[in-house]
Amino acid sequence: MTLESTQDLLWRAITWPSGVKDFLAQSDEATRRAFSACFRGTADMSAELRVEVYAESYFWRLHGVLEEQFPLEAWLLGEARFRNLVTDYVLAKPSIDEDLRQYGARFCDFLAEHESSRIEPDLASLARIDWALTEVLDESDDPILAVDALADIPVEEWPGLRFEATSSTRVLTSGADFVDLWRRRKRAEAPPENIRRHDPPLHIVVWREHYDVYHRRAEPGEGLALDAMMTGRPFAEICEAARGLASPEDVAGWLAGWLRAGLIRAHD
Amino acid sequence: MPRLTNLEPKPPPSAGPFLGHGVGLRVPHYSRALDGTLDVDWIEVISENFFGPGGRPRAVLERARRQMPVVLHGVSMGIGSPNEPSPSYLDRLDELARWVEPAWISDHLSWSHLGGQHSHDLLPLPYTEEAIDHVVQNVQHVQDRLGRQILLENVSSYVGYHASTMPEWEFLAEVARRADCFLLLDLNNIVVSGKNHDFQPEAYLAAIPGDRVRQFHLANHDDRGAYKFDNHRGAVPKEVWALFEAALRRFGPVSSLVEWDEDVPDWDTLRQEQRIAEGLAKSVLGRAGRVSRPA
Repeated sequence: MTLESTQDLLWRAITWPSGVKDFLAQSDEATRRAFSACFRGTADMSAELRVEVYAESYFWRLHGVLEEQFPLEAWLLGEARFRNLVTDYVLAKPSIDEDLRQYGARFCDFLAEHESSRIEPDLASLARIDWALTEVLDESDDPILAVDALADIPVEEWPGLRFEATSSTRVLTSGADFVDLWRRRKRAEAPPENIRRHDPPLHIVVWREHYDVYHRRAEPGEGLALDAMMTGRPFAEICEAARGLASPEDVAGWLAGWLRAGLIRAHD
Repeated sequence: MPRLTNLEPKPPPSAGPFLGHGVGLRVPHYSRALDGTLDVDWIEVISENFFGPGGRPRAVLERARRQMPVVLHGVSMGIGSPNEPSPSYLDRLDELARWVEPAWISDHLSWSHLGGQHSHDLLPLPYTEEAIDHVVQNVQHVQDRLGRQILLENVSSYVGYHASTMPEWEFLAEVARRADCFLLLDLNNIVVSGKNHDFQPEAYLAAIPGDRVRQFHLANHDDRGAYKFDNHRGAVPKEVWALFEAALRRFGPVSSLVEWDEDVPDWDTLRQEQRIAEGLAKSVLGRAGRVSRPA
C-alpha cells in the first residue's frame, strides 16, 4: 500500500461514526483485507482495537472542546442528548481549522437546523452567546474611547456622532434568558424541563474588559440602541431606536456605561 | 592528585542552546506570567492557543517573554499528512513567531489532516522510505517558509504498520538528517511506544544522533494493561525519570520540559516536577545540568 492509501484507510476507520469494528463490518472484503494487511496488532491487542484507540480520541477530543465552549447547551440537553448532538455535528461538520478552538465556529448554525432546536427553539441563540464568550477572549486589543472623550463635543454635533464597538464586543438576542440560565447552571441546579420564552427576545451584551470576559442582559430599549450603535448609526438614530422605551437622556446614560465598560473603540 | 569526587563530569556535546528546565504553561498558570512569578528556567506554550490577535493569551506571552525564553510547540502541523501544512496555518505560525521570537519552534513527527479536515490527533506514520521522502519534503517546505529550523517530536503510538521497514528511531534520525531539522525527544512517548511496540527505550536513545537533540519532554502516561496511553495527567513516573537520567548521560545538557495538561495541578506541584528534573540534571552533569536563574 502507498503512504496515501494507508492514510486514507486509517482516516476512514477512525472517523467512522460507530467505531472501527462497525467500519470493518460495513466495509467490503477488499477494505477488510487491506486493513489486515496494513495495521499490525499484538498477541494481547488486535489491530482493530489499536486503531480504535485513535477513533475514541478523535471523537472525544472534539466532544471535549464543544462541551467546554458550549457549557450551557451541554447542561440543558444533558449528557446523552448533547453527546448525540455532537455525534451528528462531528459527522456533518468535521474540523476544518488547525486550531481546535475554532471547531465550535459552525456549531450554532448547525444547531439551528438540528432536531434539538425543534424541541427547544432557543438553543441555537443561546449557543451563539456561548460562542461569543469564547470568541472575544482573544480578539484584538483595540484602543478604548475614554469616558471623558466626548465631554468637549458641542451639543449640535451630537446627533451626527457615530461610534464603533471594539472587536471584543458582541450584542446578541435570545428568546431565553441566558443570564438566568447561566446562573442556574453555575449553581449546579437541574436544567429546566421547559425554557421560558421572552417576546420580544432579550438582548445580551458580551464584552471583554482588560483580560476578562463579561456578559449582562441589556435594559429594555438599550438592546435596540446597542443594535443601532453596532451598525454604525448616528447618535440621533440610536436614540430613535429606543424611542418609546427610553429618553435621549437614558440613552446618554447608557452611552456613558458603554464607555466605562470599554465597549467603544477610540480612533486617532 | 585531585579528588575525583570534586570533578565536574564532562558532558557530551549537545545540539544547541541549553535553556535549563521548564514547564508547559497552561491556562491555570497564566496569571503567574502576568504577575511575573514564573520561577522556572523557561516555558513552552501550545502555538495554536496563541493564534488570536489579543486578550489574555497574547498578554501572557508578552509578559513571559520578558522574563524567560519561550518555545512554541505546535500540535496541528501534521507534517506527515498527505498535504503540506496550509499556507494560512504557516502564516499564523510565522506571525506569532515573529512577534514572540521563540527560542525555537517544534511540532510532531506524525500526521493529522487529510483533504482539508483535521483530526487534532498525532497519527502514526509507517516507517518507510516513502514516508521519509514525504516528511522531509514537508519539513523543508516549513523551514523555508518560517526561515528557521524546526524541532520534530517523536509521538506515542498505539498501532504499527506491516509496511514499516525500519524501527522508529531510525526513521526519526533519518528524517532529522535529511531534512536538517532538530529533535525533541519525548521520553514519556518513548516509554509508551516501547510498551506498545515491544522495544527497549534505552535502545531507542542509543540510536539517536546527539547533535540533533535539542529538547526533552517529560510527562506521565496511563497504563491500560495491554497498552500504555499518553495522557499528560499526573506526576512524571519513575521509569520516565530513569530514562531522563539515561538521556542526560547520552546527550549531555539538553533543555527539559515537564508537560502536565490534564487536571493541571497547582504551581508548587508542577514546579516540584521541574525541580526534580533540575536536580537530576545536576547530579548527572554537575553544573552543566542547570542554568542560573534570577532569585
